Amino acid sequence: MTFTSFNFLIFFPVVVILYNIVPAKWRIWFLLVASYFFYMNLQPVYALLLVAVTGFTYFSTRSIDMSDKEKTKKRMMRWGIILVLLPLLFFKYFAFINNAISDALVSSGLSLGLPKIELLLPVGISFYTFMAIGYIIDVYNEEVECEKNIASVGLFLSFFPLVLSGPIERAGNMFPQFAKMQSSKYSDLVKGAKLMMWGYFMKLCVADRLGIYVDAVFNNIANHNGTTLAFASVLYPFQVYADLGGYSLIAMGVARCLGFAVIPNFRRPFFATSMSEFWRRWHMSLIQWLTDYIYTPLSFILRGWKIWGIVAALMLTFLISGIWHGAALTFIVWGLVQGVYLSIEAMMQGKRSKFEKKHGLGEKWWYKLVCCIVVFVLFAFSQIFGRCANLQDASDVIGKIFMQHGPLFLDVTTLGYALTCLAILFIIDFRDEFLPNRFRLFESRYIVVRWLSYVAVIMLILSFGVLDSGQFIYFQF
Amino acid sequence: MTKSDMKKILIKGLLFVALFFIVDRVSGYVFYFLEHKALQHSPNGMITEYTMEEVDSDVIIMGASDALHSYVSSIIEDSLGMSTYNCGKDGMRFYYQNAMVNGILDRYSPKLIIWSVSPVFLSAPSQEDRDAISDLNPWYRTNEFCRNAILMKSEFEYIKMMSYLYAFNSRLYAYLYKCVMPDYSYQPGGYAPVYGNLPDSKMEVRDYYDEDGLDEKSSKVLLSTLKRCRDAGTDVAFVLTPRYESGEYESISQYTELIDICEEYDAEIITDLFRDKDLLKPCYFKDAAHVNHDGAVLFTEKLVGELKALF
Repeated sequence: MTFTSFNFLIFFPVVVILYNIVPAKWRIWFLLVASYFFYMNLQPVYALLLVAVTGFTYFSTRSIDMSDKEKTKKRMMRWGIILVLLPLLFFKYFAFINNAISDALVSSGLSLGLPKIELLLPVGISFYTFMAIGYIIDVYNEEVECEKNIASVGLFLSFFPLVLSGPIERAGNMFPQFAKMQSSKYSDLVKGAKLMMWGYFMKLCVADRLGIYVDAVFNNIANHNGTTLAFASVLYPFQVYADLGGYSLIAMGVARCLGFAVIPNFRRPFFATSMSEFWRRWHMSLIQWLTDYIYTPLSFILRGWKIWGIVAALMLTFLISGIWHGAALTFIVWGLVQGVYLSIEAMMQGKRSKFEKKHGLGEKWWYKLVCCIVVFVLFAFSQIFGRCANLQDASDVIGKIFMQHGPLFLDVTTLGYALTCLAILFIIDFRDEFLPNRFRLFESRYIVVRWLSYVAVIMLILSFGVLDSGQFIYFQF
Repeated sequence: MTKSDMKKILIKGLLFVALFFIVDRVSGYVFYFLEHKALQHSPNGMITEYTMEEVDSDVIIMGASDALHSYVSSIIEDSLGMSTYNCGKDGMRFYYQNAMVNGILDRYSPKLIIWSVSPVFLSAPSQEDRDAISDLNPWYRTNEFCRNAILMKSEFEYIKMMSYLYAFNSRLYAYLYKCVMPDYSYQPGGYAPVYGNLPDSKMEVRDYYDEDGLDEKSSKVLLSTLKRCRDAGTDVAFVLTPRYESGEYESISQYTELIDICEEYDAEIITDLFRDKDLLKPCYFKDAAHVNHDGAVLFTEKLVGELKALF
């Protein structure tokens, strides 16, 4: 069961109704059972991993909490993190490391016949592992209180709106809400339904439509020229934004319908005028996590190196981000490219500010537009590594984009639907960015406008959406 | 949640459903109107609609892309002296084709159906095959065979099909486009030539045994369709359309079942062109699965000779 499956449209209202009927003290258990039911519907066996990670997290945080000695606390934190990380390392990186070692041995004339284990990656493991690590560190740093109720910890890691693809939530935000377990309010239900509706539009009408074209091109690189590959590379960031952004909105909406406020994941990233701003708007929950637990401690440790300390911290943080995204060289390169962009920007920040001030560029619309385009092009370029199966494919794509021009491959109806929906998304994002209190539709004062907007979006989803499509891109992570 | 909240949700929810119901129905009528407009303007580009509602030729060519790009309608028409229409459509497999044949039989009885098949014709449908059945959605309410095929897609399809907007999903631009732009990729009679050829390359060896096995439901459905054809006096000739590949297929279950069904219902099956030496040359193929225009002309001429001998 995924958010776009029809089963979910039955499961979800039933859960909302039962949640509001069940007595408050049992709600946490009810949501825990519902979350495991949801997860097991996708991968029953891997629910055991979720149980194990919950167990490691609970016992390590309790041990940290109960211990008086700093040394013991630290040891328990380290063990907790190692135990929580083990399943992720094994399932996500074993095959990659194994193959890399085997290839290295073969190329040096040795062959030890290392065992090959091909395992299906447990859905959501990267997300709930990071949430668990964040919680353990927060307890160690005494930023959140240790949760004594194991059901709360279990629900935190398996909460069905978040378990598959985030947002990567924080214990500090979720545990106080779990403690209250308030019933849904009318305003929550309306707000949640609106978020879900727009999330479905982004996913089904924009991401999956663009995906048809992008997949057709990137799955057949050899048969497409540079013009087509460049066009598909431009569309791919929009696809990912609509895919994960749409998923995140659905997750936020589902949680909101149950009375929970979940952190947002995207804030109109393509209006960013610098790479650092872009990363404060794109996959915000992951970036905030990386900032808090990797970048900030690293830059503190390396503060003696001055600007080079920041560069090193940025490079390492985004290298880890790349590795988190996938066990492949393409993701490592993707992460390093982001690190390079941000490092260059950090080193030039002073000069850029002076230049903007001197020429009064800060408020000029055309300057902002140029900056947005530059940021987009840089990001789209880096995403080629994220989209291609291997480095050879990525270098073929880049080579063709620069060297092999030709007629554009056009799939008129697919692109027609995709670009129409993308234009609608862009207009709404533009309004939210620059005219936040004008031309309201879902939030209009007039009920006619609100209801017509709801009907229009549902009509768009039903007539333009890809309703036979499969999964969300971030399920693979 | 308070009682007044619940009352508010219930009333507003019902009103919203009523509003959506009206909009959905009105959209359905608009889509039916657009479909007919598009069909009038560009019948060849609207293969499914044309097959279901307008085709009246003596000879019908049925199949997927292999049919569409391999059977030159005009050659068959001139040689057999019977009007011919190629109803093949890219990416559409057995259940779609079966619904089309039955849709035609609901309206009239063609003299001959030439059904382009592969040795794995009766394999279990993949998810892609099931998704492709969506092309039949507009006839869900009016055609039993289309309905049966659509209901195979998922257990909740009957709920989804209550919405006209869902039934016409992904059709708006196709209809609008066809209303404005005639489709030049088709020749009269529905045949769509493809050009270009394979580089001189080694023929791919296909392992038919490695593929999905026989789908018993498909063979039952085919049996009942062939019975219907026999009762209507329509001859059926299955033809293994050439592919640029080699591989043993004669004893796979899907193929032997097809042979048995043909024997049971006196349907002909033409197999010798599948591996015809004159045809199996790279210069006659656009890709491994499709002959190019030159290949289609040669293949159709050879086929007509066989058909004349049989019928």
